[in-house]
Amino acid sequence: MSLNTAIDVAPTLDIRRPEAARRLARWAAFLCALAVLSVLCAGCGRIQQTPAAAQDGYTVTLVAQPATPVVGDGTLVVTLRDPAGQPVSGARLQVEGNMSHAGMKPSFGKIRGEDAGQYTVAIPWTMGGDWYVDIKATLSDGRVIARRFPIAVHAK
Amino acid sequence: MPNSATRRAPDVLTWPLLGRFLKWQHARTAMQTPVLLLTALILFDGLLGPQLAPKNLATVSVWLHYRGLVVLALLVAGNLFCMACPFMLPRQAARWLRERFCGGGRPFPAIVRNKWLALALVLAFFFVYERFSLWASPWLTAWIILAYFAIAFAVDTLFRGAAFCKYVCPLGQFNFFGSLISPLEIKVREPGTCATCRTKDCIQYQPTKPLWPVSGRARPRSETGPQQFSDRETQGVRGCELWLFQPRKVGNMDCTFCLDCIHACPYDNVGIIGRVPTSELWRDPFRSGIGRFSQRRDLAALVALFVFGSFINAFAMIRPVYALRDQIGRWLGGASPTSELAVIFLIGLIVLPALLLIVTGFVTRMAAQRMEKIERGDRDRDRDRDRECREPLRVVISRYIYALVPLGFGMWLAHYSFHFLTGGLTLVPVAQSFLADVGLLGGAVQWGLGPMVPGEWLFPIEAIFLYAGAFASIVAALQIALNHLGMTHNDDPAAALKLAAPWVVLILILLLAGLAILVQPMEMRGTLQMSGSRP
Repeated sequence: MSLNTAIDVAPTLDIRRPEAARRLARWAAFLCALAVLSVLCAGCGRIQQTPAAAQDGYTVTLVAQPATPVVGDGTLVVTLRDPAGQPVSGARLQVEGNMSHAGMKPSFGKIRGEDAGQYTVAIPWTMGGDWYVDIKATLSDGRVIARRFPIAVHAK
Repeated sequence: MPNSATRRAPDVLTWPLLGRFLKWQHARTAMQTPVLLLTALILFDGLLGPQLAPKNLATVSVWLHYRGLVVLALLVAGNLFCMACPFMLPRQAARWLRERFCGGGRPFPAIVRNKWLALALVLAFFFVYERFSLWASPWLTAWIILAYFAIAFAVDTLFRGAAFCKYVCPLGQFNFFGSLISPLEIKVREPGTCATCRTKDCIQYQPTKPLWPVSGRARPRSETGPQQFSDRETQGVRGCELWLFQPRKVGNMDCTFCLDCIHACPYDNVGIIGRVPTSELWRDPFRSGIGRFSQRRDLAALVALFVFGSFINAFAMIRPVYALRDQIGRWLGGASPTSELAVIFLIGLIVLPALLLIVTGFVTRMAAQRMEKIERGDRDRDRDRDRECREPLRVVISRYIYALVPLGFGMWLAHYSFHFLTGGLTLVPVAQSFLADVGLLGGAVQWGLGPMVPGEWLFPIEAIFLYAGAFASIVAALQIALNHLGMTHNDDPAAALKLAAPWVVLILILLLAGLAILVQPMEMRGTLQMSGSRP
């Protein structure tokens, strides 16, 4: 049977039956339930935003060492200043690096030391490519300052 | 008479639990429903969840797990993902709308009743994937899924049959391409039974057959003959919507493993039968719903796109591509990233493949011409000059290009398995994070999970896949040459080797190119300039 013949032998369907309509209604109800479920989930707090830019007035800068990081052990220098431009000491820093694509586990930074608002962080770069480094600084008064920095890491 | 080879081959439908499940009329729906639910979660997280690819269900499950599992399923079984395709569930409603409001729908336009449209969409998808770094954007990933649902629904509302699957769906085309090497195939068990069948339910709808059950329960099928129509009417079965007529169906091309033919056959004469992987590439018989491979330029072009696309797609992940893009940018006088990528695609997916295939096909045709001359002898040469192996070059290429399928698939397998094995376990913390955010899980999220195998295993695994693909490709080239010779010559392994040699050389060149790509460390960049485009 040629393709055209095969097409020709396919007659139309007769589905104009009440049961068919009921079945369709069940499907529609199922899909609506899915949509409702999604909306309900949305209210449960999954929605997350990228850390806001600088509405808190604090200045966070990040410098990679070396300036062009390569795969392996890397170092980041994070500087934290308050709205008046004064260094902020004694903050509790959490540094997390994630690649821009799926499939790599995050790298977590370890604080090596702090000097007048300048924090030195060791972080392992596990693969070359684009990374996002999230910095979350909890200040002594409990306020949290969060920033995200893009960094390109080169393969060895 | 029963085909003894077919009888000896394993038939999944005869396996105790799995076979019974697959024969169940609602088996496909039972597989599609959980995938649809998963897709709903993916959509939700992609649109509303954290826009950091490694922490979002959309990017992790689509670009890591879907792609990894789809190639593994094609390798060990068959086109299982089309079988469980969630995009096809809304088609039930589309079909109802078509019957109700579109007068039964129209046939898909003849001008696009081929693979050219799908090829263009695949090419566009490859380009968009690289240009807009889809792997890094949960939001774009979710929108692509939504667009897929919308287009599948629209196409199947307007047009009869499974037009979307056969002529449009880029994912389906990839699955068709991959399933050419799969070890399972849906085929007739006893050809003799089909010879006496008058109803041909496997291909055609019953005019009065309802789409859904109207009453009562389905009765078990008779072991001695077809069921009466009044019984089968209650089952709502339909024939193949991709116009693959079982008695003349050969191989997996265009088969979505939808099980419709299995459920439709009143003689229970269609099985999911084992075969030698890649063996369908060796011969070029007439295939129902397709024709001969060697006569289908569109199919050959699609295969070429998937074969060479596997190398370009992997090449785009490694460091040299950035130097190349910079160089192209300088040549073009500071061109945009889009232009740089377009040049790489033009060269890597069109110019270079066309050149390689034309040269290889030309050498093969020359070898065939020389063999014909020797066979005829000099005295006939002048008289037969005009008849010497005048097979068009495109037919030669379209015949032999299928030898490259295993190698191309091997490259996709190596690439996707790299991602899957590198980060397969990241699904656990991402799912934990999702559940924690929606209040269904307490405790710490195990962000330390990631690789499925030690890092030093990755390259050997990738290399094995690529070598296996190259080996299967060489075997396929020789088999195709043997069958090609079978038309005009007696079987002659030495002559087949001469015909296949150019293709073997091409396979070895591609193998070396693949190894050169895989041995490079991965470095996916290009996403940072997009970082401000989404919240």
